[in-house]
Amino acid sequence: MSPGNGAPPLLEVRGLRKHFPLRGGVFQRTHAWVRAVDGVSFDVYPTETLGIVGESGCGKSTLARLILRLIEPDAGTVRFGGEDVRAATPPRMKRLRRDMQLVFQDPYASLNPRLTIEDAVAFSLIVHGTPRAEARDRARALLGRVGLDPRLYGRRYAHELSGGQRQRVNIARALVLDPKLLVLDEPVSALDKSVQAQVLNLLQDLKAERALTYVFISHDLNVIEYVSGRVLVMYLGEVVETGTADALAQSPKHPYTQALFASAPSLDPDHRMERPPLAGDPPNPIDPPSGCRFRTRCAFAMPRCAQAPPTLLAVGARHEVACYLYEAEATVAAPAC
Amino acid sequence: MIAATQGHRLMALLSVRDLSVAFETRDGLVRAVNDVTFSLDAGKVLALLGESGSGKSVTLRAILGLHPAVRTRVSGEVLLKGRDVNRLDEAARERLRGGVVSMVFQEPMTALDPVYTIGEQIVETLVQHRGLDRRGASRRARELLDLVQVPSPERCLASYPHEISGGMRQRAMIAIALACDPELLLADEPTTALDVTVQAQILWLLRDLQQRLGLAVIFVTHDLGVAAEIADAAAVMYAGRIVEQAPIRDLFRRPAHPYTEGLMQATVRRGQKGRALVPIPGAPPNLIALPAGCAFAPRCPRAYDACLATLPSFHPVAAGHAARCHLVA
Repeated sequence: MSPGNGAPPLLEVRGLRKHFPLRGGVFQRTHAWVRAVDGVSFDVYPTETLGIVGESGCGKSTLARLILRLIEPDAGTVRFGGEDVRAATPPRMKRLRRDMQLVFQDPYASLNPRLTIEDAVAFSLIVHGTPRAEARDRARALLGRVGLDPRLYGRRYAHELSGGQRQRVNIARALVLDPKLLVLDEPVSALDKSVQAQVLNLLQDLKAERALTYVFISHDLNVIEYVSGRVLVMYLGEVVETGTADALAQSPKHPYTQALFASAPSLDPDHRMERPPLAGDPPNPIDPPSGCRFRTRCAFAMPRCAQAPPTLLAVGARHEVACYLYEAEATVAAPAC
Repeated sequence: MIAATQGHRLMALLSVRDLSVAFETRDGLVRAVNDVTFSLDAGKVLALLGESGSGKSVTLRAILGLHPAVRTRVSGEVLLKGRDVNRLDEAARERLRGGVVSMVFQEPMTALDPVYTIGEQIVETLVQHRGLDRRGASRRARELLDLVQVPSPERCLASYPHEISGGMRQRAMIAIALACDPELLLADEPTTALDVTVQAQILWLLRDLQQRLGLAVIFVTHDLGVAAEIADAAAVMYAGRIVEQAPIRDLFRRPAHPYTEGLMQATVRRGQKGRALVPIPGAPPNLIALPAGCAFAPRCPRAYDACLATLPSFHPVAAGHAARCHLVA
């Protein structure tokens, strides 16, 4: 991937791989592997939003957890501000965690039901050594910033709030340590549309105010296009295409990206879908197809697609695609990554 | 097509009048559905659009008489082919379910029985409702899977629900729903749990089946895009009430109720990058303590005194298009 404005990347991910064993039988032997994330590389530059889009089972949530080292990868490296996250000692890791925070999809499951929301937001400050009184003041100020008046809501519990309010609490909690990077895993997917827009606007405002960098994961292409500068399209644990949100929206290259755009409802009763763009469901990541993993659903599949997986090739400025159809037009000069 | 306030016509397949459903809870009476009136002709698709808690699924279940009598208050009429579902005994309702009306749920994994194969479940339905023998039922099961375009029907028939993909499960559930040749299909967010590429297939399949079989469909969804793909008309629900009814094109071109308009503006579309979204401020009201006037008034940018004081009635906007809003009057 090509650099942005010359600044070094904040996050560098190289060859990240995570396979989960499937165990069974009396001896709990491993009989298969779920290839959740398989050789994923990308950079995220300061203050940009990288969108990651894909369907269920494409490995996007596993990727989020790998970036934050909530789970250990089988192979590959994650560098944050130039530092190897995997090599970090526990005290160093604690420091790094302040700079990288995660917001989950389910705003209820990720909040402790026994803490008032004020305490939930102050909690990580206290863990990181801030005195209680100061932690509470900062938590209350931040709750106010995300649109929850601390005098009204500070002493309430998660179950007393609506879904949108809970997600605001989660955002406040993620921001309380002043992180540089926020990994947002489907942050608005569980919310109603009217509330979704509120939370998206809040996230955009906070990003500008605090010069934050986002990795924004979603299955919703419209949301991804709206929030992202650059987009990574994943299919069964691999990156199939990456480019600016505009480039992808205007000329998606990979047959999967094209199908993803064509499958989204048009919101116009006069332009209904003529035919479903793809047949079948995404295959099981336990036993992905050989070669290009998309070939079993691809209308353009050729014999060679089954033989070896295509690698990412540059097809334009900051636009790469892993598909044999574009070998001829690939720009030779641009180096991969 | 859809008679909004003009009263139900005689020949409508389904006619719902002043339907209200309330649940008794420890916190108070939850007024989930309030005075809902609409009708649906044979062969037409109505989208019940609304966000969570708007009463769309409760309305759908009331059409089948699925709400348990305990702690639930149902009033109003649900006339299915002229017969009031709420006045029938359980045996008569059982005959309506399947034969006249059937239902497709959001989560096929929980709606299908995990300990029987797909084939056994379809055969069981046919034997129970249609009185077919097992051989005839097996043959018909195979035909039904062809109808819903399952690529390898034999394998699907022999599979347990967990062994097939989400899209296949949803096709199997549609096959079961169609087993007894219903005239009305009730679909409760049938594509919400699916990936977008699979959602496109299921939407297309439902539209194709609807046209080929001349089915009437009520399609409950929170997704404007899904409604635009499939419906002939839509009824928008808010806080248990229908606030706007319109032919689908009218609804998208000229939304009349401020809530519908707000929903359209809040929805992220393609090519919207760089422009701030216009959310609807606030949150829906508590169904235990509904306001006296328009339930949307506290969030409405154009609300005035009358909106808070009195509940607006339906006002016509155009043919078949009406909105429950003082501003339209």
